[in-house]
Amino acid sequence: MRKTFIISLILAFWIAQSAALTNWAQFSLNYFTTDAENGIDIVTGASQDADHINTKGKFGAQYRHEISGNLNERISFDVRNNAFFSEKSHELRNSYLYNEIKAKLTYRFQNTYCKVQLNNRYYSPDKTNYLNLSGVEYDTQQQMVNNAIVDFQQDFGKFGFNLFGSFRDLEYKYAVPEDDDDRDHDDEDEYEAKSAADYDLYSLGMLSYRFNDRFSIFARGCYKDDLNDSSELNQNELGGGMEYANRFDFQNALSAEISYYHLDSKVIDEVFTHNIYSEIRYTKRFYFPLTGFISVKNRSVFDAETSEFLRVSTLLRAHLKFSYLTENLLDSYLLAGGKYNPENNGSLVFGEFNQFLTHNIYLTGGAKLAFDLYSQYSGKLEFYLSPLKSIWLKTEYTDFTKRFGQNIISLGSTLIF
Amino acid sequence: MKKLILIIIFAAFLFLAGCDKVENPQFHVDETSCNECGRCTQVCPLDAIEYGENGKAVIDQTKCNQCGKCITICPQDAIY
Repeated sequence: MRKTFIISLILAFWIAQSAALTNWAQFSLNYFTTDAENGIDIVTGASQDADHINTKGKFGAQYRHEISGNLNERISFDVRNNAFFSEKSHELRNSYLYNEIKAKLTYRFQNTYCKVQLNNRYYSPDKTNYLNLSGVEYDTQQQMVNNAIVDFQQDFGKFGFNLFGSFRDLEYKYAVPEDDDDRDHDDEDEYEAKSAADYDLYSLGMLSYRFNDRFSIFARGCYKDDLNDSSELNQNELGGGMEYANRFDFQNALSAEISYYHLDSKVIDEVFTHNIYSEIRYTKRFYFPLTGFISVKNRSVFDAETSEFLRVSTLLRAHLKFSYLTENLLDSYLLAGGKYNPENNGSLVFGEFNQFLTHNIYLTGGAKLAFDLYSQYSGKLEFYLSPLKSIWLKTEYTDFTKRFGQNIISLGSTLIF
Repeated sequence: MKKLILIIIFAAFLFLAGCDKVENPQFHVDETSCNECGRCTQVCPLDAIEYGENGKAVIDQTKCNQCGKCITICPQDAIY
């Protein structure tokens, strides 16, 4: 695992030496408090009591950096790093000290596209909560996740061809009672830490035929191989559908898709065997300052046993943005929208404003009300030193349906160079 | 032809939207909204979320138990 990290760094360094770069960096310091009531149940695995959640004045930090550029006309790259630390678990994160790096190399020439990507997530062992992995009897603690991705796309006239593969390796630890044969364990038992790995291979093949610029049909097959001994989490998916996309003019665009896929897996309920996915998205630019879109997605299944269609999940999303004071560094705007997702209680409404104050200082405020899950209120004061450099102060309060509330104050800087 | 296709999709959508829901709905990711921030991968207690072919988050339905933590934490409200 360490090798992957070192190879990624060497690769990034070599690329940095040989190309024109664009850097984006953001650093923030966080100060947070959390208040919880007893009996909370929506928290990360290790924190089941209010005393554990209650936090008064803890600090944290986050540093994100992205480097991108072109090696030549055909090859480009993108390296992203995200390091996160906090004194105590917050924001519903499993780990409060981790680093994530993604390195991507893409080749694009005429009708060929190829991507190779390496991802690595490292979790600090003593600051990571326990997981409940499928098929593992004991609580497990993530150590590291490695992910290698290859994606290849080729067009032959009206035909398109896509091959995708992703290999995933999760390194974890778990604790086993030393005398595991004795089923009556108590707190005084000696536990022994063991290391293990969980592997998955995801692959996809897709063939499409484009009738014209707007309309195409496709067939695709996906296979997930649970490379572990049990192979219980294997999954087959086979299906096809049609897509439509049309930009009528500068102000109106419409896209739609409908597809069917057959799913086969030992661990997924049989009702999910015959799946139907449909989507319609209409984008409307009313006139320059007023823009918006409406998008509808639906996933349903056909239950062969009862011969009826059932909804799995529906998403209706609408956004409307009104821009004003456009002569400044950034637009000042009002944004409002909503999401309707009845099956998973994910419905919400939100509103946001961004207002130019004076001397490149902007004030942003927002509220989000997810009726069944949480309500969130935020405010941000941002000072632009130049169009590409800014310093900001942000506060965000989230009330997780009155089970606990969390206030985070952040001071940060964003830099593009 | 174009109108016919749109009418079929629209009719199918209306038909499906009017059906009953399954007992245990699945969670999926709206790829157009996902900004690849990775917070859902950090919070999933079952290690069921990873990046897919276009870099967006994908939920592995063989691992997911519909706990809903990802839908709560997603800053883009991309999980439905």
